[in-house]
Amino acid sequence: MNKIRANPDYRVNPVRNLILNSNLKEVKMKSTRIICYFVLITFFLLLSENSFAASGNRFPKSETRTFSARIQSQPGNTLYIDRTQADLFIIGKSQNEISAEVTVEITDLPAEIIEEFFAQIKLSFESHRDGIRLRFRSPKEKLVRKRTGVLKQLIRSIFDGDFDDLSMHIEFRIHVPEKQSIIVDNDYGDVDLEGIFGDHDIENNSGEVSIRKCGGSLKVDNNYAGVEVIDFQGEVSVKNSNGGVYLKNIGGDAEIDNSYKSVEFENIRGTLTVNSSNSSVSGRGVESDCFIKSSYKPIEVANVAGKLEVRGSNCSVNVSDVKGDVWVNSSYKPITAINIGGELTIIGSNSSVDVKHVTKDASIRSSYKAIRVSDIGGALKIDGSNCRVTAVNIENDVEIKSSYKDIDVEQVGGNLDIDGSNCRVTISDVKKSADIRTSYKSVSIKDLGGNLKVNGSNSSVMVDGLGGDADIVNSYKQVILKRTGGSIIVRGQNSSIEVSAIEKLPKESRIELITSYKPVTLSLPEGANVKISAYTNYGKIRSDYPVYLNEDANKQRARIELGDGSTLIRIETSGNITLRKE
Amino acid sequence: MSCEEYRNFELGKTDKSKFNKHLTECSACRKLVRQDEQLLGLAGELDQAVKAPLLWTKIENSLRAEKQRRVRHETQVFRQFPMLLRIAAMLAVVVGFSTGSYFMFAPDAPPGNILTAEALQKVESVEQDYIDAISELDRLVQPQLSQLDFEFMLLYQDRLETIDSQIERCKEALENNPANAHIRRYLLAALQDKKETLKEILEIES
Repeated sequence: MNKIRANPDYRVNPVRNLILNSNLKEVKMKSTRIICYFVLITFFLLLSENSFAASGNRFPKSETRTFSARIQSQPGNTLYIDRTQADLFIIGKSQNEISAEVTVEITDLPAEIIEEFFAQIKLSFESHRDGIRLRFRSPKEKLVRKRTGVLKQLIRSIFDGDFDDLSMHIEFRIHVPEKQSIIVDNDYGDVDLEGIFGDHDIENNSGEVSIRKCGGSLKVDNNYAGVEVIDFQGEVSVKNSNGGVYLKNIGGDAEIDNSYKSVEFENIRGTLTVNSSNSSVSGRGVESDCFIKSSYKPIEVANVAGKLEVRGSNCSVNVSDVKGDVWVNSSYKPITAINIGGELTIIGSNSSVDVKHVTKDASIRSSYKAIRVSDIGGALKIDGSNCRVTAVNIENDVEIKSSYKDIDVEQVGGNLDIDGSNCRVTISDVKKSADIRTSYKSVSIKDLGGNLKVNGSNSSVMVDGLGGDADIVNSYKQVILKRTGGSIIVRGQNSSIEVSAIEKLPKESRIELITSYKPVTLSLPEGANVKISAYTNYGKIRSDYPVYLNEDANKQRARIELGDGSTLIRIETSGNITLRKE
Repeated sequence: MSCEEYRNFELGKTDKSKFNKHLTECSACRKLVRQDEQLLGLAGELDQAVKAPLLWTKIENSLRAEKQRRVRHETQVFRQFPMLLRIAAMLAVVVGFSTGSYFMFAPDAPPGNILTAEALQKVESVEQDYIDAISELDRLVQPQLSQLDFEFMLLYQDRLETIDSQIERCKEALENNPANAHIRRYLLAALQDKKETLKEILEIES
């Protein structure tokens, strides 16, 4: 064997050192040893992993046993599981038998007690009414049911014996025929049903209830824990006190009665009825009518094919995409309705209201908060006390009643009626007539197609573009009319009046501008056919036209006739009168 | 506090003069320096350690002597039985690796359905804390509840009655099944619910 010369750098690389300073035999021996160690380590490793895994629990502190039973059953029969305090997992299978497996976990006690306890456990089936009843008997079972009173305490002290301190948890796994009806009466356990088509009645207390991929009819009565029903082909009725409810893909009608926890739903083929107290309600997709009642929490509903009725007390309400009529009642929180295919009725108290895109008529009542409405296919009626009102793009007639806040209306296809007390009113682009009653705030009108009637005490009136006749009564504030096309009658007290840019003066039309103490200015278009009678006391008459002037003390009276004089103009004031030619 | 300069200064990446200049521009760093100064001030106020000049040296010496004795003994054992050293090392590796890998990769054991005595004691202690808090809150709430708006009063009375009945039901069930984790969970949830509701009533009043 050749001795390999040592490398001066051997200290820094032990592996290299090993190779360079050993003969081949040594290298072989060491390699074999390393392989042996490796195999040994792997063996120990696997052994230890398996032993850990086999234990199933890192720190077992309880004893568990499993019991089973089975019985033949016919589709359509009912399985009764009652008087249990257990987790129940019930699964439908394409079989004609019911098989049950129960896992019992109990407190870690001396071995003999455990054995005695498990020895007394019995799992069996028995005939019951129209079906089969699953019976689970344990020394503890008779004790864990609701018991109070001295006699029951005495019974417990006699029979409980060694199991007095024993706690247990039970879990059932039951396989049933697919077409099996299930009736459950359970406490303090979760209930799961999957793939079973029958008439199910689940009564549970303090445990989650989950129903998946089932059908037939379902009635759930639970409390203090959630109920979830997903993919159910049939009618569903859920009552859950202090528990949330979630429904998804329900083939028939659904009825929910709950409190304090949320209700959520998605895709209900039938009618949905929610009767909640203190619960938020939200969901989308109801193919028939939808009725919702709740309080204090938000309500949100979308995509309803039928009609929708929401009764909320102190609830914010948000509804959208409803094909039928919508009726909403709530208070103190905002109400929003968007894309409504039918008629809309909102009755709110202290609620702001936002409405967009309603195909038919809309009727809204609220107070103290803003009401904003746009794109209504029918008529609009708003009754808002102390509400700021904005209405845009209404196809038909609009009727608004409010007070103290601004009213803005744009693009109305029909008539407009506004009854505002102390409201500033601004309207524009109204196809037909407008009747406006307000006080103390201004009235501003632009492009009104029909007649205008204004009764404004202490309100200024400004009109720019009027197709029909104007009939204005006001006081103390100015009246300005531009671009009119019909008769003009203004009766003011202490109101200055200014009429200009008249676009049309139809035959037989008339202009009456009557006020007191303030000036009246009338500008007439070129070629006007008018007969003017102007009268003032204390004021003066100025005219661009030649006039026949009568002066008597402080009074002045003038008469003018232009063209065929087919339009009569009467002006009376105690201020100045100015007649202009445009 | 997104400025990196303070960190750089602490790590010695920025010199003091540069950092001092930076301090004049950066309020975040100034705040951190102030906190440091306060901390140092507080540390200075701490009680001084008992003066025993030779105590630590004595402890060190005795520890060193003990360690040397143990090493000597172990070395002698392993010199006499070299294979033992290898097996010990191997076992240490196996146990360490397998334990570590188990705790790293094994799925969490499902939460127990039956509480251990220790866990039960802890849960009962938490429940008692809730009961104490509820009793204190209840004392504050009762006089105010009657002064609430009638509708609110009815609402909260109904809510509290519902929770109380749930608490009673759970307690009754626990008499026969004290370590059942499911029932304990629901009792705890009801107690929490009651505490939150009482707090809510107090907040309405305020």
